[in-house]
Amino acid sequence: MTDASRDTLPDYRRRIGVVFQDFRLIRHLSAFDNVALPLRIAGASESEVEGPVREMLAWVGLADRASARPATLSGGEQQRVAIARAVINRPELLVADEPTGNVDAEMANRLMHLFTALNRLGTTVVIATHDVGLISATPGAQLVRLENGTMVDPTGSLRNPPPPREEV
Amino acid sequence: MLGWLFASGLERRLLGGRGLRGATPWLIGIMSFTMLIVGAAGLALANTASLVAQGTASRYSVQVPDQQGIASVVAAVRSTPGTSSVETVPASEMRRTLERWLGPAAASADLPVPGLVTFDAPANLNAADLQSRVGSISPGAQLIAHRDSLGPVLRSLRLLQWLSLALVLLLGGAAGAAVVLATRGALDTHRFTIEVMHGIGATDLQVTHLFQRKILIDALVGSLAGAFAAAIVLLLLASGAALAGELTGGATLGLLDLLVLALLPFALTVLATWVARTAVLRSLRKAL
Repeated sequence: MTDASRDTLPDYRRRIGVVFQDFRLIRHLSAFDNVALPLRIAGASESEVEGPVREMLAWVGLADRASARPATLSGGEQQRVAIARAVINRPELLVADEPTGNVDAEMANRLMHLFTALNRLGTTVVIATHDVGLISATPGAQLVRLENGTMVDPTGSLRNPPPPREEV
Repeated sequence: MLGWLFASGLERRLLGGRGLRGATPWLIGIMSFTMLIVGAAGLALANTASLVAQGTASRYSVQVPDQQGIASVVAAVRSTPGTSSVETVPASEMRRTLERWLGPAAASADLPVPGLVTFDAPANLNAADLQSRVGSISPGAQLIAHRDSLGPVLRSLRLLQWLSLALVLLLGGAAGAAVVLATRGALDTHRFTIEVMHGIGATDLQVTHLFQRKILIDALVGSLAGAFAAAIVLLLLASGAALAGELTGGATLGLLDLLVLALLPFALTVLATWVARTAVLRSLRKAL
């Protein structure tokens, strides 16, 4: 990836969804437009955008907040908008940096369920977190510890065998 | 074909309400106004120079020290092949001319009034031969080609014409520099949005189109406003005959000149848009 030419990067980025700890939502766009952005950037027409975005917002429990600006959403709602934006394109890889860092325990559990469901649909999900307990409680999650940028436990700790993957 | 020009609602919202606006349309407007005034002056000077050059290209004078022998000089000129419109400037008119410098003394009968014969001649006139002949008729008679005597004036006019062109180009360059600065400012303002767009797979061209459209609209608004103001000033100048005469030497702007002037604001808009596009693309490649 580091050797990839600049022109090929957008294509790679469209195949990778990223959830940032600070959400990185565009503040002057509504939740709908933030979630729709990856589709529009990928060249989808408005008719191809409306349905999937509404569906994704409903999936993260924000169907009634579609027109809300990020500033009017709570931390958990912003986190879910960020997740919806990251997965709307059905990425092959989802990277989430402290996705539960700004939400309460109940919301953290809900988000982990969302990631698990996404993983079952075929997306590889990589989560960076300090909350080891949350990951340990997630069936099938492989835990890898990093210390000072080095993988300390390269074999990981496969707590439970992953469930059989569902057909998409 | 021009779809890229028109931003969708979302694309307009991506950069928020302000975009590049602010000083940019005003700057472009001032540049457009100045370019048009300078351009019009340059074209008028070019027309004046052409008029003067055409009017003097085939015009000659023979200046005789006094009125005696002037009839023989006229005969010599008329006998020269190709000459036409041979006229003697009346002594009374010469005196009136001299009065401008000498005052009432010019009316004195004691004052020797030089004779002047004007005529047209083709380009292949043998000036040396004619000079020799009129000199033998009236010693001291001098053949003058008007294009030679007005040469310095014509050169000055041409110089001013090129100076106008240089100023128009300079103003275009200054407008380009202003657009680069405005574009860099806008890039800084919208850095977060650009980073997010890049992060989710936007290409440099997609980001560039947003700014390109903004600057195109700003530049078009500014250019047309400046052109409108310049048109009013030029019309006022043209309606004031004396002032226009001072400015243009009596020459008017032709249809082609007006077309060139009308295209200037659009050329400025295209330049600004191209500069913005190039500046954004370069900045994105450097910064991200």
